[in-house]
Amino acid sequence: MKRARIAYNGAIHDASVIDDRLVLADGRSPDMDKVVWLPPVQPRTTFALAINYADHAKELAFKAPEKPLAFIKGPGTFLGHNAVTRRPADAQFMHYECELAVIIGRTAKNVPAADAYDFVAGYSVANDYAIRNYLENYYRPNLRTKNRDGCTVMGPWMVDAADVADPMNLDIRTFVNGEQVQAGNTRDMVFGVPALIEYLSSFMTLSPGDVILTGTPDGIVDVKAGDQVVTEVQGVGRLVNTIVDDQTYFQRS
Amino acid sequence: MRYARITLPGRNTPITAPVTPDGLSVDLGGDIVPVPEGGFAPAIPGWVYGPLLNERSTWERFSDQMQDKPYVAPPTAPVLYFKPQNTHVGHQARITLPAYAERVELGASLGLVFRRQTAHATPENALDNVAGVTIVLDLSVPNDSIYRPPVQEKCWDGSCPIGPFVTDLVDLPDLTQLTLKTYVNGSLVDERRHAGLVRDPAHLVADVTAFMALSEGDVLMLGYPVGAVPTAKRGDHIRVEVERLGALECTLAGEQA
Repeated sequence: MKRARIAYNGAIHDASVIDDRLVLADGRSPDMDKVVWLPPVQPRTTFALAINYADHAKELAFKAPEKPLAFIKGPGTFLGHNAVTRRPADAQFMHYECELAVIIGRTAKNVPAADAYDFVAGYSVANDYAIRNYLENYYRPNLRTKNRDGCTVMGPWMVDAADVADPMNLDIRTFVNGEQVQAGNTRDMVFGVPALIEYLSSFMTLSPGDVILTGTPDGIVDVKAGDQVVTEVQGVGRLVNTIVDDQTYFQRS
Repeated sequence: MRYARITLPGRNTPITAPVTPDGLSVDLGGDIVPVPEGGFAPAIPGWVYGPLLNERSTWERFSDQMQDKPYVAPPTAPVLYFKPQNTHVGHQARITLPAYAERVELGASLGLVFRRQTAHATPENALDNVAGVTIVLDLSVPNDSIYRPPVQEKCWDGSCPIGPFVTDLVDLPDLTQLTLKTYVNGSLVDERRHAGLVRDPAHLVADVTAFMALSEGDVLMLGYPVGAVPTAKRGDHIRVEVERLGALECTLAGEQA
């Protein structure tokens, strides 16, 4: 089952996507273009992983880490499907990062990797933008780069864990204005989903609705105002976002 | 006015209400209800953010290294970290240290409590949405590096006692005049004011909300001198006292987890 959160007709709804149709709990089926897509879960604690793909580590001139390099995101950075993200005027290099998002379904503490999938509610697609010229080398990655308002896109929905046969073998791809710019497969993660749940739950309690963004492969390019950025995870979803400049962002959205 | 957030027996959601002058009961308008044993929830329901290098003393301590690798240059924007939900505990919590840690830093700070969403604030209006002030005790596993310390050093369960109260900002003097006194097992180990800040409260709020909004119930700490505060170990009782705000207490559980 694909489960979405949407705003429609003055209220927020849990919705399902069945045969490419959006279906609300009471049976209404609004046009997908007429609803506001919210992130599929209300963000609680979200972890993101830095350089969790060997090729991306090489691209950024890092060696692959020995332990997961996890950092945290707050709630204000999240946007749903079909929204716009602002590229500030002084951004010099702003790039997308297509990621498999893992949504925790049960309270988890000290979970061994072998049992980790039992604690996953489902999967979604995330696009974790970064503005590289905002990076500063204190408590990396700094929040100005990685917790900016509206710079983490997630959706369009969550796919139930039971419907994803092998989360560690999914193609992930990004398209800018229709052209493929990033391609990888989740099998190339340095730390896979079970290892990440084991690691994170070893020092903190994970709760339902917590999210793990599992990192991105290589293939980052600068995106400009007007670009449509589509991030896609095989069998999970296709997430659309559009980059806008300051003028557009502050006047119209 | 001071407010407490307390959990009443059998209720699943904490309530927030003014406390009586003795701090022992909450005033629900008609009923006065004593705070039950273990009833203090984290004083706020939102997110907690802390700034690094927000004291000139800390900045100066690190300034020699700021031109060198891996830092390369001094930071231009506020450097922040999270204390996420799993770290939040209320007054009088009993906290279990991570197994690998011998000691934790006692990072006492004032915390600005927001009453509504605040984004792109100016220094002039930055404090308009600050409802009050609480005490935050950031219990962190010490690390000499401020480059990319492992997230678990700041995010272990229970590592952020908050409270006991939120005190209305209008009832307080200039925040830099308040003294934070930290006691371990009854002995005063640290006495500080938020004097000599790189960004005073208004400028901190303005510079933070330039890139990330703060919301109702969120807390922005003013910071503490990371790496230069006393530490505590298993079995210690900790008390952070600030005039007018009250005293936040916790105990570090004695046995190894």
